[in-house]
Amino acid sequence: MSARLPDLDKEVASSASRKSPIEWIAGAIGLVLTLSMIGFIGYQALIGGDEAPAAVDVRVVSVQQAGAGFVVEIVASNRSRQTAAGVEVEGVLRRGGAGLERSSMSFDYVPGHSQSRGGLFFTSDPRSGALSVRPVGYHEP
Amino acid sequence: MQDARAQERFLRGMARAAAGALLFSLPLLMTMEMWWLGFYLDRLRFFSFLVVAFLFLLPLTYFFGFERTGGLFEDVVDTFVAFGIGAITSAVVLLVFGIIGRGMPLNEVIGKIAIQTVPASFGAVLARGQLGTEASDAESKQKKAGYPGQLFLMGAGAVYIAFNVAPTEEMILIGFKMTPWHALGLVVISITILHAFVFTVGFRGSHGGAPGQAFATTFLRYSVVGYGIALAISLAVLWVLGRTDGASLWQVAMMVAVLAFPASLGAAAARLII
Repeated sequence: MSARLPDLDKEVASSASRKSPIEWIAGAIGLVLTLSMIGFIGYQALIGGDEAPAAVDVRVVSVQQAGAGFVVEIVASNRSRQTAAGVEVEGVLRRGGAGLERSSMSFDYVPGHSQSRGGLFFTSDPRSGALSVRPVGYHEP
Repeated sequence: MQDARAQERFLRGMARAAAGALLFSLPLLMTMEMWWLGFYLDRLRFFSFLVVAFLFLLPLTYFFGFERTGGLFEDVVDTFVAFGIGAITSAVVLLVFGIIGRGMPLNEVIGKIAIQTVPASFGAVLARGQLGTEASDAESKQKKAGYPGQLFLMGAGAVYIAFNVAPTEEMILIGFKMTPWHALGLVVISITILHAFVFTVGFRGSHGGAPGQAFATTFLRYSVVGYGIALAISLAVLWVLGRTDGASLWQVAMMVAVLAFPASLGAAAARLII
């Protein structure tokens, strides 16, 4: 290992005088990436907004036949910056006199300002009744 | 007589590669997220990941080949051999663990083995540098490759460490727990440690030119560029693992900041590890 060190010294000494274009390009790209990272995170740090509680909306994307039953594809969107963990979602299907059918699922995470996808299963066709889907609760990660 | 010796040397090289594959990939072989990735990873992304991994292994094989290589063709063959050893090692371990077995769809079995093959074949290639006792021409090759070669090695170190920790859920969880101020601190610490490593490992006793100028040059050429490499590789790894799907730009930036910490350590320590 130690045998390598003198070689690098020479390399550094010689490179101080002559710089190849690749070093300029690599240096510029590295600098831009690093500065934009610091800039973006620093901007977020300054505007704040971590204190607001999580705000999660759930909406239905599609209803499809799945095996013997039906699947309702859902998307949970978090409109706050606070990440919501363990988000419980409940779906209720009302079919006139035929009664209620309930389904539930949970998302491990719905990150702040992000979306997570999932699905709810029903035995009867959700298109035949009134389907409502809502988030029930969450905890902080 | 000559043949028997050559054969023994070959077998010894194979055994060393398998040992290296095991040593480098065992933590990932025992990570359940890696088993799941094998079947849920987007297939097109998976394929492009394997191709890029192969392209990364090729120069690595050139630097630390199993045998002293004669040309590009031999390097390509050696890279395939490393892939093969990585795949066999992963398959055997996953089989013994009961992670793959009868009754599983072929797609799942192959996926589980293929994702583990990448770190395992990295280990197979690096085994020569790590476990080898024979004299190697790795140093002269590295010297010849110059600055781009150094950047490549930094990238390889970053990929290796980043990929070792990225599949776990903790990576995104840390991102969720941190505030922007924490993230800023982590970025500063990452660059500082990267620079400290580069300065002490690679540049000990460097007194060429004015001290101030030497610091600025080294900082820009290795530390800032190294951190840039760590950022780019972290983003690529997170994308391959599907962590960026549906995530906002802000969340992606936080995840990248978290993963770039180990990645920049890997880049910095590349000269030690590799």
